[in-house]
Amino acid sequence: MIIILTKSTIAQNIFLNELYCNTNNIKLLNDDTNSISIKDNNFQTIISKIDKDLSNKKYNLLVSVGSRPSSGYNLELSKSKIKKDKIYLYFNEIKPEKNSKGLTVLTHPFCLLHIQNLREYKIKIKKN
Amino acid sequence: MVKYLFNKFKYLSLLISFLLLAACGGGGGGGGSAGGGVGTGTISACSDTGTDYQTSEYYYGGVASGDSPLQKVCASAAYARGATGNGIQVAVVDTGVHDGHSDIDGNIVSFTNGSDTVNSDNDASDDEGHGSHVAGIIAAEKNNDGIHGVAYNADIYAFKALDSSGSGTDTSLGNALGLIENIGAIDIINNSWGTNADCSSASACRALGSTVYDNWEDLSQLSTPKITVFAAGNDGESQPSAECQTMAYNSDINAVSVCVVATSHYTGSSYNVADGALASFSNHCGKVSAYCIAAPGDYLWSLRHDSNGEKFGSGTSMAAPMVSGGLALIMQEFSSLTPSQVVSRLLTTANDSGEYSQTSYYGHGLMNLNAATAAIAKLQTINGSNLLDDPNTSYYDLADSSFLSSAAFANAINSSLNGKTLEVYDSFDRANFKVKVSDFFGSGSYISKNTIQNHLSRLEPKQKIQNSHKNHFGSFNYEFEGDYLKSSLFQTPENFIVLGYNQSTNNFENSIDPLSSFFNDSEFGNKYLVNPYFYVGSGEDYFMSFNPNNSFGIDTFTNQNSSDYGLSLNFSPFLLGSDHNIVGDLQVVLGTNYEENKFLNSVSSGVFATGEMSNTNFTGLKYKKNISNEITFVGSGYTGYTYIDKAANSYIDSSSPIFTSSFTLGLAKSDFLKEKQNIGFFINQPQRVENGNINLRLPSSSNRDRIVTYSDLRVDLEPDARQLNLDLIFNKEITETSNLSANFTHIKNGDHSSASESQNFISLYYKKTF
Repeated sequence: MIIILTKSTIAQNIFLNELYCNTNNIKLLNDDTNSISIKDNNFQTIISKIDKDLSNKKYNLLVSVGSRPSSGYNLELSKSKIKKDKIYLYFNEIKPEKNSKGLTVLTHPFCLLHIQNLREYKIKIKKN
Repeated sequence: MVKYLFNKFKYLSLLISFLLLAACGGGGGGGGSAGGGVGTGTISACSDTGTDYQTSEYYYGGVASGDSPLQKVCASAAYARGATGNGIQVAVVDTGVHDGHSDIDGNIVSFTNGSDTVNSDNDASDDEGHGSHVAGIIAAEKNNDGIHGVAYNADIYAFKALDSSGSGTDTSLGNALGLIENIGAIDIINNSWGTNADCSSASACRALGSTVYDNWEDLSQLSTPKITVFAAGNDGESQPSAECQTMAYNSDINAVSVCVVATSHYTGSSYNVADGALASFSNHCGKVSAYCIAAPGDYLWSLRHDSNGEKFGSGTSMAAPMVSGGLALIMQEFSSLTPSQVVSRLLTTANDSGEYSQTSYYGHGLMNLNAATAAIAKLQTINGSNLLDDPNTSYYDLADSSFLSSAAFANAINSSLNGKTLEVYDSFDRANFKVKVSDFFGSGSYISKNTIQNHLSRLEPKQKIQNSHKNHFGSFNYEFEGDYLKSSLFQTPENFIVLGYNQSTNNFENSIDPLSSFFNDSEFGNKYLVNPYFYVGSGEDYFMSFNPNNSFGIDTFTNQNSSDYGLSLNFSPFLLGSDHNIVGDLQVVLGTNYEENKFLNSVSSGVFATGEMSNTNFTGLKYKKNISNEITFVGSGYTGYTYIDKAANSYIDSSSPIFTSSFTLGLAKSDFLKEKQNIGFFINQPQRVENGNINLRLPSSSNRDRIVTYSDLRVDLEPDARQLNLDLIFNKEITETSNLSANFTHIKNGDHSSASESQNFISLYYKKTF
């Protein structure tokens, strides 16, 4: 999954202040596929699904890949780059090894980020 | 040219035929589900009848009260039968368990040595959350707080075999199973993990994890195998996980293993195809449908690992512990079942109608804990054997065993049996059930004979046709009611031989006059004087007497079905002398009777049967004296000792001699105040047990070796009170064609019970014949 941030002016280095990636037991977003959520009135509600005690309010971007059938799936920010007016954030989904043994529970890998001045960007998702 | 064209035509015909057949066949293809697919069938609910157990905790495990997973499998019905999982141990092979959670800490067994096979230590605490959630579904405590598990009194053994990211290896998981093998107490193993792979033979399945496979096989081959439950996986595929597929290729494993798919009962879930249908994420039972069952697995609320709170979870991980808990309930409820029988009962009783009949998806259907803890076939009693499965063991249907107590001791039996139970067995698998012993026992009742209707019938002159014939051989009297021969009496001269049908032939009883004029019902009239050990009233009572002289006679008696044989020797000593008018008439009776398959007129059958020759030795006194020309005193008293014949394999194992008594005292006066007016007063105590007991040997428990244990129950037969009947009778012949009768009857302690209310009957009867 690639998150593309487009600013009206030349893209600058983004300041990625916070990053937290994990899996959750319950679906986070209604769109159960690759999706994002930008901080709005429902954002804290979504975060509380992850952990009621996760009160860090700096996160302003949630990246989710939807439901996965077992444990062993994770999401990681593998790299980022700037090209002209665009910033590319590359998220890599980690999958369990073939024939590995894992928990037979639905998991929902996600990453929470805090990006400075996020509202100045238009955001698109693109599959790898 | 012609040949060329013909060949072309032939090939064209074949082509057209093929196309036509393909259009008609519609594809076909091999196998596939018999139904229309997930969510296309009718979904019916099981009957959740344990309303006392449907608390807020019971409903708390779902998103809303209408989708509680416990409700969907009708767990409350099992709870109402006493199933809680108490005494059953369930191992959770998982990420560990938060043993300090307030809603399960009372049900966690201390971590065993080596229970953390990931880090090779003794601390199976949960650092991921999944294991705590699973354990809570099985056995969270029922304590009016949060949720409770399916088997809320079961014990949990925690094993940490998957790490903090939920990953396990063949070594860590297999070693956990190996540890469990050495813990005899563990009954069931829950595995909410698996391998997303296919295997099509035992060796191929083993190749995916040999340590797991070998130890799992060992667990299944123990003398008391452990039941293993596996989640089917969440890839939405037509075949379940590799572990489930293993069940198709190993008969030792599949006899005691269950694969579990998940249903969704939360319509707000994106995995809900239809309310109660297979969740869209769930793998299907596929080729292991014979060992597979469905249970709720979408949005189940259970325990957290990082606090005393709860959280949701979805997956076959949640469905599997539902089934593990259900197996614990079945195992606790039926101590007579082997582990494989417990599995068989779970699968056989699943709801397999409509939607759930699609075996490729649901296997045996949706788990139904009401049906699983109820009788599957008919309940039966065992014949006295202690081996449930022995070829020589036989069983009776419940209806074939009964005991109808004589009123002489019915009250005592009821008291002794109050609250007592015995085991009976389901003919499907000999699962043991408890039923009340008193359910087999009915009571004869004297009270039931003293109804107003019967009382009046005694006063009403019968529409009798009496005939009498006499010749030098003797006299023959008989009595018809309609077309029915009511009674008959044949007497040779001097009563040397007397034959009676529904009529006593005892010369003392038949000489009671003027008392006989009181009563229209001869049975009532002199029933107080009839030998109480000759059990009359069958409708076909046969009497025969020999009276060589006035002072000695022999009476014999038998009745319908020839189940009674009675003999009495009657001595009338005062008739030897000439002073009997001064001392009165006395008859001393000594005798014996034999009853077939009953005693003291109590009929029993099946496991409560008695033998062919129960015997009573009795003695009696009858006395009559004319106090004046018009006043007659009568009295009789009988006692007897009864010896019960034991039947083979009967639950009536032994008995003491049963001592009984009865008596009657009466005064009668003819021409009372005026001519043709008679009055009489009688006190009667019906037959009553004075002392004696029977010992019942009842099946009380069974174990998983299929051996029954019997317990003794002593039943004292002496009632707690003494029935007394008081009768005051008056009749008056007004004219030859009219008479008036009045009667007052008081019954105290009916059926020899202190709890009986006194009964009083007053009747006035006038009859005129035109």
